Amino acid sequence: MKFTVQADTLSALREALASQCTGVRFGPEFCEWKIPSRDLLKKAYEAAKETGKGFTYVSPPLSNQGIEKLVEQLDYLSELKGSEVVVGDLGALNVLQDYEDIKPRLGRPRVYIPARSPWSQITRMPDPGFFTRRRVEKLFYQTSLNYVRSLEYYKSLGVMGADVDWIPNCFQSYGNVIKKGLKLAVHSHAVPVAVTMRCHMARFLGEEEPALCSRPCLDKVFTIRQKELERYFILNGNVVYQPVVSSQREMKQLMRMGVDEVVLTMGPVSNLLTRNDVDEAIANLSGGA
Amino acid sequence: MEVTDQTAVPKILAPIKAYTGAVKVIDAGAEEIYCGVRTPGLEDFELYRGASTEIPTYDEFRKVTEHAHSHGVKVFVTINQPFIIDSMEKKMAKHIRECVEAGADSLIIGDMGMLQLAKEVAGDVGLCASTYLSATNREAVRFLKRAGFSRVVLERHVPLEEIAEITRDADIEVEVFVHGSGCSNVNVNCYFYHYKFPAMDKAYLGIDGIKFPCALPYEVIDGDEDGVSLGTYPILDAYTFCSLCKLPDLIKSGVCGLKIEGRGINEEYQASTTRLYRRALDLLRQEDEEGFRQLIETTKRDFVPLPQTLPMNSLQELCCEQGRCYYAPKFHAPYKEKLTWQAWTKLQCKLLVVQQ
Repeated sequence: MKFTVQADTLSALREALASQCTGVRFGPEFCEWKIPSRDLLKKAYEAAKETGKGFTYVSPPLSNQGIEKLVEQLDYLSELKGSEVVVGDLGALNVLQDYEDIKPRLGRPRVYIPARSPWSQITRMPDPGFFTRRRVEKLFYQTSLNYVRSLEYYKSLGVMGADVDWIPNCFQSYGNVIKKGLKLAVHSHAVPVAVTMRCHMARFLGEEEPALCSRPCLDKVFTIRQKELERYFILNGNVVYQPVVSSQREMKQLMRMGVDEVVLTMGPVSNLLTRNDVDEAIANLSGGA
Repeated sequence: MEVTDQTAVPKILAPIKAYTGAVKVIDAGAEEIYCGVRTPGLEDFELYRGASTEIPTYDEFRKVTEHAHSHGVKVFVTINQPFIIDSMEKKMAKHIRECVEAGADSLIIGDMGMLQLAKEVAGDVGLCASTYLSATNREAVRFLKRAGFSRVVLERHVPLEEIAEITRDADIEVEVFVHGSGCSNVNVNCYFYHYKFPAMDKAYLGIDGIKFPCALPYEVIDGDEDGVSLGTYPILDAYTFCSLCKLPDLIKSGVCGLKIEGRGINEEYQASTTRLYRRALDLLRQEDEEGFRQLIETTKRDFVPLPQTLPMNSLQELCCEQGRCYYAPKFHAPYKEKLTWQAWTKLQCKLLVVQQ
């Protein structure tokens, strides 16, 4: 099993590289305003290369200007031959069609999983009955890649893998995707329940311009609680997460399904802030693997 | 204000959920209408909106298309799932065929796999990319065109100036949502399903109508669960939106369609909002600047189109957010002042007064 660590900043990446992880991912998964400069990307890649660890670039959902920044990054990555890029945007996938040397994989924003919903286990019907409930639950635990036409379409565009979440009820459907030839990487710690381009955290904290944002999300989270909904969530930047706890037993299940990569994201959501935190998380997960 | 090329004035797309609603919105001036049609066998798996927002039978849908076509109005059917899996294919294929046979002019598709299926079974109808496909940039629009779509609906969060950029570069029809309760989150990446279930009913203060988990007040705690409570705010609510004042800019941007939200809302709302935008577009077409200005003033004073939602939303309906700005700065909650939710609402009232 590969343990990859995702980082938004160079300092977090360096911590990750000093850990026991097998590879790193660099770049923001959800916020285009955190896209690194080309120089920073180069530094990140070189730091990874020095340690001999794998390097994957991560790109978020994008506006027009985000696309322009991405093209700069891709020009650099294509020179490296065989780079992997996680795409959170169909526009990015379109641009990547011009870069034969870069292998795309679909990011979490591009894979639909109904079970990300905080209340996915509840059907709309007031008294659905056992069989209806089971049938609807089965649908909820699938992904948008569990349709052969979708899968084949993305593969025809060169997509070689995709990112999904640590939702144990979905593991079976992940296995079915893998059997059909797509690699899956599973993110631990938190499931993204909602992503916005009108950053909730920035608005709350009074940030005025995206380009001048002080990036409070790099070290801050809010826990948000709705008593009547009987749920709490973690708000970090433009994403609302639902925390998940991963176990070694589930890790074994994932391996049986053919998953060969787990992604740990550094930052305040996972509370993985140092190399020791990462090592501890890897040890906790791999103990039973 | 400068709208001289009449052919460039975009069409109004109105939402409906019944034949009677179709009659009303067409009468109110809709040039295109859109709706969902209940999918047999999948009624209990409607992720966002539920079967009550859809035309219940293919027979009723056929009546809708016949009425619409007799008035020169096109009918778009939303194939209302952001995803499809193997076991849903037969039902969805049958559903698409039924809708096309009943007279659908175009299908609104929200998933690339569903697109492949529609291309195989739908014949010659138009294919429109839903906001579920999250087109937020020109490359995404190019991607969707290459995939076979004939029209793209941009994600609601695309700011006005970027709408113009995208449309300028696109060699495909581009449509935008102009008015509604808005989505605080990107459509396809939001899993706060608008479900009706007991806990949610309590949370929504017992008010009937649309349910938005993102509009609720949340207790905001700094850090993890054991942190300091900062108060209770509708922190996820990025507010309703209205594009009335910015219609001249939207027209100049070159979009082909102005889409009104509200398939789930009552027919009176659907018709009154359509009528309002119809009047505004007609005034712009006639270059009646004074008439347009007066319409906006009157609307700000009188128009409360969502009486059945939270009081806050009714209030905000009067506020314009046409810029669809990333942070909606005018609504900043001054964190340091630790406003209560009620105080925040009052703050918005003040802003409203200032605006008027």
